[in-house]
Amino acid sequence: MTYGIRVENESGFTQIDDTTQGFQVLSTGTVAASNAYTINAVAIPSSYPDDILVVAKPHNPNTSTTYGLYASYEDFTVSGTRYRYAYMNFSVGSTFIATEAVDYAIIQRCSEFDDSLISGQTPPNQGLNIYQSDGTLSFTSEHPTFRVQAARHENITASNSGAGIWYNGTSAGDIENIYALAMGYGGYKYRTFGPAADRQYQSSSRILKWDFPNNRIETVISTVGGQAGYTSLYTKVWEGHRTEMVGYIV
Amino acid sequence: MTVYVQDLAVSQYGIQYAGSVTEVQDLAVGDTITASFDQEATSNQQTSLLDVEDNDIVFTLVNCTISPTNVKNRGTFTITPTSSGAAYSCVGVLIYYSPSGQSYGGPSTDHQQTTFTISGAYGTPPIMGLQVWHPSNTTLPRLDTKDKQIMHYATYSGTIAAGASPVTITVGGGYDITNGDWGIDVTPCHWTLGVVSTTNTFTVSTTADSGSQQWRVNVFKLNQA
Repeated sequence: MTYGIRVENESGFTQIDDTTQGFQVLSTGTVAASNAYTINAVAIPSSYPDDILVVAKPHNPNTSTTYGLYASYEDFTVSGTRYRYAYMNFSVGSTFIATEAVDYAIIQRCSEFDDSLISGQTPPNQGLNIYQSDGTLSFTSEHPTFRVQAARHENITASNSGAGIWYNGTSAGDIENIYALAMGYGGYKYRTFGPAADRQYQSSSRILKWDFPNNRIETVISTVGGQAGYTSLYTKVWEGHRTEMVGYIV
Repeated sequence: MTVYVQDLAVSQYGIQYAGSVTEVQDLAVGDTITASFDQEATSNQQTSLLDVEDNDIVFTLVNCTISPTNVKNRGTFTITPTSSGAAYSCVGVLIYYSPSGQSYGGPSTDHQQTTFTISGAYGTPPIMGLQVWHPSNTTLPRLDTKDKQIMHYATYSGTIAAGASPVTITVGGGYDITNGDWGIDVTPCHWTLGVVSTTNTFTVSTTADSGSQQWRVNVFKLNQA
């Protein structure tokens, strides 16, 4: 390292260095509760950069039960206009319908922030700014940070859904403050089966569950099914590598 | 790093009874104990009781190791805790010949035992790293010493047509999704989109029957080694 600082924590993880940029909070808000047929979304402003991430947690949850996150991200262009939406709502308890409101935060690379917002304050604020050698920010205490508390990685296949408990709260009520990366929950596997005259379908979703009574975060599989009509026999799986991540917004 | 000495002994007057002795020694990270366990004996007791079988002490260890592992009465060994922040204990039981006709709390009427225990807390290491606070929150710091920082690495996007060959993207930089230092965010969430990683690359494929599939992959690091 020739410029700046580098800070490692007790686990050997780099907290800050001079060459890479942390993700900090660009905006926050609440996605409203929905009905049984819709999952609501926040529209991503066109001014936002491509590499944003969206994190979410239940809005004013009842902490005597569980909440399951359905969340997806769409980025498409129609007639030259680009649309970006982060869809998200929560199911409650054992229900399959995601209708509950969501607190979300959109996080972006620190260097995307306008440096003048930091340097031009009157009176000057206190805190820490770390710059890269080209003058862009890699960390600033002026913006809330997404502080990663746990992350895991799964290679999702037809036989590996990645279900399981992967974060236990560190103190009572801890997961009430936990946000999770919210861009790929809902789709997992869809298959049809049975004779043509009585074709059935089974649709499985990967959901991230806030288990408030047990103060832990868990990936679960929720499955529904029914008559599929005269469709062909097939199985589709949203396969591939996936990172799941939880942390605080402070 | 301190090396403590703990020589535990039970008097010769207790040799016919199930004697025991306990010491508590709290340790900081890196500390060890040089220990010995001694069931004291007169010369006659030594010959007629302890030397008959000359057994090794049987250890029960919690969150620690000992070296050497074969230890006899009065032998010296080292206790090394293994779990920072957790209590440790080293319990040694010496069984020896004792034909008294009564057990007196021992394992049988012709054997007796002495129990030695060293236990304590093993401290947590000093906290390292940087803590940054903001006046808007006096409860949680904006950056804390246990945090992993998510750090941007690269963003890739594209469109893959139904029936097209998979597209392999070179990430480089030692990208290895399996080692815990890297993260990947794949969108959209769709049955027909597959993104599978190998070292330094990922491959995008689609199972769509028609049309095309837009995709985006955000690669980030969770530890800048």
